[in-house]
Amino acid sequence: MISKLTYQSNRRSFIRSGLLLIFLLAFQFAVFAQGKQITGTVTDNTGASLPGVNVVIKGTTIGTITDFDGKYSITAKKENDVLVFSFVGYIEQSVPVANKSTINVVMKEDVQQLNEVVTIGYGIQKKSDVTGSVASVKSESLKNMPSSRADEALQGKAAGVMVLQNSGQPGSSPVIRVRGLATVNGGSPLIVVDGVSGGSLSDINPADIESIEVLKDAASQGIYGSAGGNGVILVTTKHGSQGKIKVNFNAYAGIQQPWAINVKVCDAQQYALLYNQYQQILGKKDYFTSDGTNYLNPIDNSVLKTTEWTKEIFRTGSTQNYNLSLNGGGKVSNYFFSVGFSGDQGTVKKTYNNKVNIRLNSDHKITKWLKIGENLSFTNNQVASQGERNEYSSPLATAIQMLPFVPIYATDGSGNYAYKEAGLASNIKNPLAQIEFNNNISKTNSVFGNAYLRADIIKGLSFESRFGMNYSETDYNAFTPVHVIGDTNAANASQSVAVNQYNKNTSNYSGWQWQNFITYNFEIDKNNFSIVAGTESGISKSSFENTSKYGIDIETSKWKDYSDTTGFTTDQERDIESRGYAYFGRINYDYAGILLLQANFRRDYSSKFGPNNRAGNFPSVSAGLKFSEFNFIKNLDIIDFGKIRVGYGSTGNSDIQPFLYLNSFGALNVLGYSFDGTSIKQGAALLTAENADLKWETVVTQNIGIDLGFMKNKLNFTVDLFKRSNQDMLLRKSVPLTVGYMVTNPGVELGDANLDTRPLQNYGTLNNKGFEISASYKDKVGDFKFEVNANLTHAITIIDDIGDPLVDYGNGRGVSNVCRTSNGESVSSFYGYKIEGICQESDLTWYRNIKNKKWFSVMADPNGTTTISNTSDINLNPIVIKAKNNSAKAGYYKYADTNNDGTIDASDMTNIGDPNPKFTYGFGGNLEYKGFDMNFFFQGSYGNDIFNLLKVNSFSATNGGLNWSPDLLQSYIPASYNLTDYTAYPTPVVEAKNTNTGIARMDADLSSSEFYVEDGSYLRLKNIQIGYTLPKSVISKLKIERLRVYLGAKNLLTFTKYTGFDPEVGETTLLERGFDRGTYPQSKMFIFGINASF
Amino acid sequence: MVLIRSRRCSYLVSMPHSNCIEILVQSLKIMKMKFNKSYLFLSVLCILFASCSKDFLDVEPKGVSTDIVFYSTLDGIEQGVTGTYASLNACPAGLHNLDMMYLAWGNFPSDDAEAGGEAGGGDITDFQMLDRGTTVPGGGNKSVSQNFWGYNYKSILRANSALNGIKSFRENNSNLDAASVAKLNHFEGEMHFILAFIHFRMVQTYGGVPIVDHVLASSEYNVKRNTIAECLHFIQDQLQIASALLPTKSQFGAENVGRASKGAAQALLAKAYLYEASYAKNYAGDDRFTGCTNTFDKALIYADSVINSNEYKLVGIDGETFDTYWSQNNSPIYPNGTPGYRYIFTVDGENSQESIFEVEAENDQQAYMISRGTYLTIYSATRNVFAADGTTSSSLGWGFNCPTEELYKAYQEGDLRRDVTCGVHKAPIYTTAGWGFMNNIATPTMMMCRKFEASPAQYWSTRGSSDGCGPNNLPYIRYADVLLMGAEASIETGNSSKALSYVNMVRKRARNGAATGVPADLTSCALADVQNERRLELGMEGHRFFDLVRWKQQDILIDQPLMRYFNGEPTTPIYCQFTVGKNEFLPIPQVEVVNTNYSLVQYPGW
Repeated sequence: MISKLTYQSNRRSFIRSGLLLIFLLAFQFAVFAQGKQITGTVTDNTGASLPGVNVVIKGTTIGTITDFDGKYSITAKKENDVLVFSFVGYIEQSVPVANKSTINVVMKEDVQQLNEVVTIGYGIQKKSDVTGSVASVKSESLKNMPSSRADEALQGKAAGVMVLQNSGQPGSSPVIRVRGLATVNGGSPLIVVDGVSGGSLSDINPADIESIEVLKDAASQGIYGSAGGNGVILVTTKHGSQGKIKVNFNAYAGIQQPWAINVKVCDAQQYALLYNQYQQILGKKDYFTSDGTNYLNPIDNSVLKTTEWTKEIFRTGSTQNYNLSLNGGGKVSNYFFSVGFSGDQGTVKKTYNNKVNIRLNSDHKITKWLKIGENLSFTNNQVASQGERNEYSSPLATAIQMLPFVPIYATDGSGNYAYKEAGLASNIKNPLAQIEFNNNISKTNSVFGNAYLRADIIKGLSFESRFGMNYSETDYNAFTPVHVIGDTNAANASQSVAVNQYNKNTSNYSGWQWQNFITYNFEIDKNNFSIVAGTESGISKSSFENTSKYGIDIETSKWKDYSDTTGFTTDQERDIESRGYAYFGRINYDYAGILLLQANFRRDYSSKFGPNNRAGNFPSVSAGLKFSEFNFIKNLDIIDFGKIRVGYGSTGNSDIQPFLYLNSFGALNVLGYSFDGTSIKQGAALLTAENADLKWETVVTQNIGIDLGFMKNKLNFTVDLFKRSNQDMLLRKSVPLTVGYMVTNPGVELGDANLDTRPLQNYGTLNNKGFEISASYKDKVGDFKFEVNANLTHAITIIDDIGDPLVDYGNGRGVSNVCRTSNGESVSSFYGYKIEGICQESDLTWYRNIKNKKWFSVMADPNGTTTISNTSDINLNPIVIKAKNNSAKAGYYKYADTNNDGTIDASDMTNIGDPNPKFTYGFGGNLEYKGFDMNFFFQGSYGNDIFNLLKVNSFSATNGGLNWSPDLLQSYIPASYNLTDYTAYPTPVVEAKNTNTGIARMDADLSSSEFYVEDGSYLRLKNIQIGYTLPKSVISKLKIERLRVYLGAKNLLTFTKYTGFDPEVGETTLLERGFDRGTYPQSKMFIFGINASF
Repeated sequence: MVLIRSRRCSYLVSMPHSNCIEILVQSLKIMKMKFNKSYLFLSVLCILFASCSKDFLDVEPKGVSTDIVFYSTLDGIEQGVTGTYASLNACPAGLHNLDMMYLAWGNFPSDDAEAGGEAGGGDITDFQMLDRGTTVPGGGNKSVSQNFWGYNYKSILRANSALNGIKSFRENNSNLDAASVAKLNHFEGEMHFILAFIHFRMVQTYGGVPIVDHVLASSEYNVKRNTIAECLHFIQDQLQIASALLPTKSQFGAENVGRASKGAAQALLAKAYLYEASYAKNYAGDDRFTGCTNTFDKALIYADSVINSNEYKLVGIDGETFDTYWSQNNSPIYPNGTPGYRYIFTVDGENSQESIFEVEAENDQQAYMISRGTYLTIYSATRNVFAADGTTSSSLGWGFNCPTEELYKAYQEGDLRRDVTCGVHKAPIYTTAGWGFMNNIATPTMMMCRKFEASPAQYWSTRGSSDGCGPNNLPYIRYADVLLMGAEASIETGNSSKALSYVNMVRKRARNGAATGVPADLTSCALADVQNERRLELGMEGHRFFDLVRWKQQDILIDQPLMRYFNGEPTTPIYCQFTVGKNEFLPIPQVEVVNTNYSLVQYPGW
C-alpha cells in the first residue's frame, strides 16, 4: 500500500519536476518537430517587449525563449497543445494553440508575490500563510549595498531589526538587536544558516545569500526554544539550479574617508590663550604671549605651529570587492560555487580588513525519492586594528588630548616621535607613534556548513537529516617593538618601550549539530495540515589561550615566530564546552487558506544549566485570519489582501557561559600564605557559589499584527504590536555575608574592583514593548519602474524587580556608574546631575572673615559645619546655590537639587538620558528607466542620547596637559578667578563674559551631568547607486548576458547634531550603551562597480 | 555542597543517537539490498524517538576550576588549606585589614586606647564610633563591622570547604601512604582549629553568632543566631578534634611555624573555657549567657598542657638579646641588643619560641590589594615624624591605635614594657632618612603604640604603595597569654601559689631575665594582680576590652574617658557611652539582618 502510494506521488512529482526541467533547459534543447509554426510577441502590460520569456508546449520538452524584441517562434504538434509562457516576476500564462498561428501575450507582473515563500524554522511556508511575525529580506534588497558582510547589509532593511554599527574599523562586527532588548545577558539573536544554528553573519558573503528571515515573535521563534528569545535570523544561501552554467561576476572598488571630523580641539593659539587663562585661575603667571602666538619666555623664537592631530590620524582609505559565482546543474546534481575577496584599507592609518569567502553548495538526487546535499563555506578574515573605545589611550582619544603645538617628530632631528613640549606637563602618547608601534593583527579561518539527506517517503511525508558543523580559529597578535618617543631632553621615559613586547591570543571554536525531523503535509477537503516533528542535538566547544612575551631579542620582521619560547611571562588557558538536545514539533492548520493556526512546542535540554533545571518546555501558538478572502471584504474592492495575526508563547535565553551553575575555586596571589615566615605558598579558595537551580531566562511574547495590500497589492503595509516579558532574568544577587562569599565590594579582594563574585540567580523582570511598521509601494509607468519602501520600529525596554540598580557600568575618566539600570527605568539609562545653568557671582553667599577681614563666598551648608566662626558674619546675599558639594564658584555649573533637601550631593543624581532610541527607521527606493537605474537607502535613529565621555578630556582643567575644546573660549569668565580671596566685597553685578553660554569655566566640577549628554539622533544616506545596464545588442557580441556598471556612495550624507567622531556609537555591553569612549567613525565611500553575467 | 556531581563520561559513549547511528547504517544497508523505504521509515522513527541519554549533558567542566577539581589532588587540598589561612589576613574593601579590626575591637572601646587617625577625630567613622560606644547596627561610612562579619564567615566557608575536600579525598583514595595520611590529618586539624578560632573571634565581638559548620546550601541562607554557650561549646568541640589531630610545634618544624599546632589548639581551648567560666561567673541571670558553666578547671588543664609541653618559652627570660633594626649602630634605643619583650613584636622576632599562634604577613612586594602583607603596619605607624635635626616633619603612617595616659601610668617607671607599648611624643623613631623623632602632636593622646612597628625597609614596597605591604604578624596567642590564663584559672580554682609562679615568670621576662629590677617579683597573687598583669603584658594587643567584658569590670568601661591628652591640658572629656547589658557586644551589621530576611535578631538594646 505504501509503495503504491509512493509510486503515484513520485510519478506526479516526476512530472512536475520534469516540467520545471523543461522550462529551465528549454534553451539548451534544440526543437525538432513537424507541425504548425506559431509566432508572436510577448510584452508586458505597458506594451514593452519582454525578452527571455520561456515558451514551452505544455507536457512536452519542446520550448524556446523570446528574443530581444520579445518575439518567439515555436512549432506545435497538435491543435490541442497549450503554450505556457513564464518569466520570473510575472504570472505564468497558458494559451491553447487551437487554430491560431500568431499568439501575442501580455504578461502580467506578479506584484502580489503572494506565493513568495519564506523560510521558517525547520521548513518553509508561504508568506501569505505566516501567522507569526517574520521579516524577510531577499537577495535583491541586499545586493546593492557595497559590503562584505551580511550583518552590515541588513542594517535598516527590516522593521524590528536594529543593527548597531559599533565601529568604522574595517572588519568590526555590528550588534544586532531584534525588537530592542529582551534580556541583559547576551542579547544577540540566534543565527541559523541553511538550517543549522551557530553561524556568524559577519562570515557570510552577502552575494551568496538568497534570503534572510528574521523571526521576531514567540510564535515564529518558539521552535528554537531556549535559544530563540532574542530573535532568530535565518539565512538561506543560494543554490544551484538546473540549466546551463551561469557565471556572475561582480566587482567594485573605491576610496573611503571619515564621514566628517566633528570633534573640535584647539589649535596652538587657542590653546595658548586658554592656558594663560588657566594659569590665571591658579594665580600663576602667563605662559604664552597675550595673543597666544608664542611662548612668553621663548623656548624657541618661532611662532607656535599647529599639528592637527585629529586629522593626522586619518587618511583616505580604499575599498575593493570581487565576487565570482558559478551556478548550474543537471538532472542529478546542482551546484552553486562562489569565491569572494574584499579588501578595505580603513580611514584610520594602518587599519585594514582582507577577507576571502569560498562557498560550495550542491545537491544530488540519489534516487527519485532521496536527495543529499551540502552547504559549505570557508572564510579567511584578517583584520589590522588600532585601539578604540578607550578614552585614555587609543589613538582616537590621544589625538584629542595631544597638545596642538607638539610636532609629530622631535625637533632634534633624531626622527623619533615627539610627545611633549618641554615645560608643559603632558604624558599623552603621540597618536601617530601609537599607530606606528601598535601592530595588532587578528586572523580568523572558519569553516561552516552542513550535509543533509532528504527522503520523500510517501506523498506529503518526508524525512530530513542534517548534520552541521562549525569550526573557527582566531589568532590575534599584538606586537610593540622597542622604540623611543620624545625629543632628546625628554626626561619622561614612560613612553618609551625598552624591550619588545608581544601578546598572542588564540581561540578555537568547534561544534556540531545533528537534526532529524519529519514533515507531513496532507489535506482533508479544505483542511490543510502540516506537521513537523524532530530531534536535535549538538555540542559546542571553545578554547582560549593567551600568551604574553616580553623582552625577547628578535628582529621586528620575525616577531611572528613563536618557536622561541623564552621570555613568556603569562599564559592563560581556558576550555569550555556545552551540549544540548531537544525535541520539537509544529502543527500548522489552515482552512481553505483563510483561517490559519499554528502551534509549536520544544523541549530543550542544556548542559549550561544546573542539574535541577536542565530541561525546559517552550510552547507557543498563533493564529491568522485572511479576512480579505471574505466576500464582503472582496466586494468593497479596497483591500486586496488583509490578514490579522495573533501570537503568544514562550521562548528562552540561554546566552550565558557554561558552568556558571558550578562553584568556582581558584588560586590567586591574595590567597597565598606564609608558613615559614619568609616564603609564600600558593593558596586557593572558593570564589563563587554554585547554583544547581540555575536555568535559562523565560521570555513570554505577545504579538498582534496586520498585513494589508491595496491598489492591486502595489501598496503593502505590515504593522505589528509586541510585548515581551522576561521573568527569570539571570542576574548576580547578594546573598547573606554569613554564607561566606560576599563582601561589601566583591572582587576587590581579587584585585579587580569590577569583578562581581556574587552568584548568578534567576530573578528580575524585563518588559519590552513597542511596534513596528513597514510599507512598500511598487509601480511602473511606461518604462519607468519604481519601488519605495520604509520601515520604522519603536521599542522600549523597562527593567523591574532587580532590587538594587545594576551600576558597575559606564566608568571612565572622571565619571563612574553613568550607565545605570534601575527598577522602572529604561535599560542602561544615563545617570548624573541635571544642570540648571551657570552659577553667577550674584548667586553666591558672601561672608567676611572676622580675623583677616577678607570676603569669601560659601555655599549654603545644611550641616552647619562651614568655616564661619562668628554668627555675626554678614550674610549679604542669602541665595541658596545649587552646586555640588557646596563648593561651587562663579562660573561653575548649577546642578539641580532634585530631591529638594537643600544640598547638592550624590542623592541628586538622576536619570539624565536614555541611550535607547525612540525610533529606528530605514527607507529607500529603486528607480529604473530603460537601462538606467538608481537606488538609495537611508537609515536613521531618533531620540537616543549619547554620553560623550571624550568631553572629559577636552573640557577638564587637568594641568594643561590635555588639549582643550575651543568652546572653552566661550566659557564664563568671572571678574576674579580666586573668589575665596577677596579683600573687598565684589560688586554684585560683575562684568562677565558670556554668562550664559552653557559652558562652565574651565576648572569647574565635571561630575557626570547633562553636560556630557548629547542628542544621538542621526539620519544617514547609507547607500546610493546610479547604474546603467548595457543594451543586449551591444554586449551579446561579447558573449555577455548582462552587464551593469554603476557609481555608488556609502554614507554620503549624515545628519546629526552629535559632536563626537560618529553618532553610531553602538554598545560596549548590554548595560553600557551609547557611551562614547572614542568610536572609530564610519567611512564615506565612493565606489565604481560592475555586475556581469555570462 | 554535593561533591559527586558531574560524572566523567567518555565522549563517544555519551553521544546521543549513537545507537541510532548504528540503526541508520543498518537501514542504509537494507535499503541498498531491497530499496524498501518502509525500512527507512522505521529507522527514521527509531531515530526520532530514540531517547537522548541524559548523561550526554554531563560535561566535564574543563577550564573551569571548581572545588572538585582542586580537591581531587593532595596538592589542591593543600592550596585550599593555604587559602583558608590567607583569609585570616584578608584585606577587605575599604582598606580594613582583619588584624587591624581585631585590634580595634579589643582596644578602642577600652580604657587603654583611642582610635586615633587623622587629627580632628573623624578618620574612619566606624573606628571612632567604636571608640565612643556609639556604634549603630547600620555601620558607619566604611562599614567596618560589616566587613569583619563577612570576612570572618569567608574564612569559615573556606575551612568548611577544605574539610569537605579532605573528606572526599579520603573517600576516593583508599590506599594512601603514611605521609599523605599524616598530611591529611594535620590539614584536617588545622581547619577545625580555624573554624574554632574564627567562631571565637566572632563570639568575642558579637556574642552569640550563627554556627556555620558546613558549606551552606541556598535553602539555609537565612541563618539564625546561636547562643554564646552553644558557640563556645562548638568551639571547644572543634578544638578537641583539632588537638587530637595536630602535631606539636616542634613536630611541625620550622617550615610550618605558621601553622596551627596542638599547642595552639590547647591554648585556644584554655581561652574558650576561661571565657565560658568568666561569663558564667559574672553574668548569671543574663539571658545572653545562658548555658555557660564553670569551666575554670578545664581552662587550667589546657593551659597547663601548653605550659608543661616544653614547646614554648618566654623570649628574653634567660637574659638573651637580639639584633634588630632597633639595636643597629647609633641606635638611640637598645644599642646593646634588643631585649626579648621588644624583640617578639619586631619583624625579625616573629614566630619566636613564645609564639603560639600568629597571623602571618609578608611584604611580598606585590601591589596594593593583592599583597600578602598587612595594613596593620601602616595603620599603627605614627602620622608624622621629625627628622634628626628636629625641623622637617614628614608623614609616615596613619596614626591609629593610640595608647592612653591611663595605660602609660599603669606601668611602673622603668618597666621595659611601657616604652614598647606606648611611644611618647618625640620618642626616637627610625625613618627612611635614618633616626628621627615621633611627632605625636596630632594624635588624640600624643602617643602611638610601638608594637607592630617595622623599619621602612621592611615595609616599603617596590611597587610604590606601601599601604598593604606591612610585614608585621599579629600574635593572637603567645606564651605569656597562656601563662596568665593559667594564673587566672589557678586563682579561680584556688591555687594561688601556682598563679604566683606563672605571673612571676611573666614579670621576670619583662626584666629580660634580670634577677631584680622593675617589675619586681610579686610575693602574693590575687585575681586583681593577674588582671593587672594581663593589661601590662598584653597591652594594645587587642585583649583589654574583651577581658573587661568577661570580668564585668563595668566601672572601668562606663567611666572611661574618650580622650585624655598626655602631658597636655585635657579638654572637655567625652566619655565612652557604655550601657551595661548592651555594649558588651557589637550589634550585628544591619545589612546582614536584612540579607537574612530578619532571621538574625539583635540583642536587646540594639
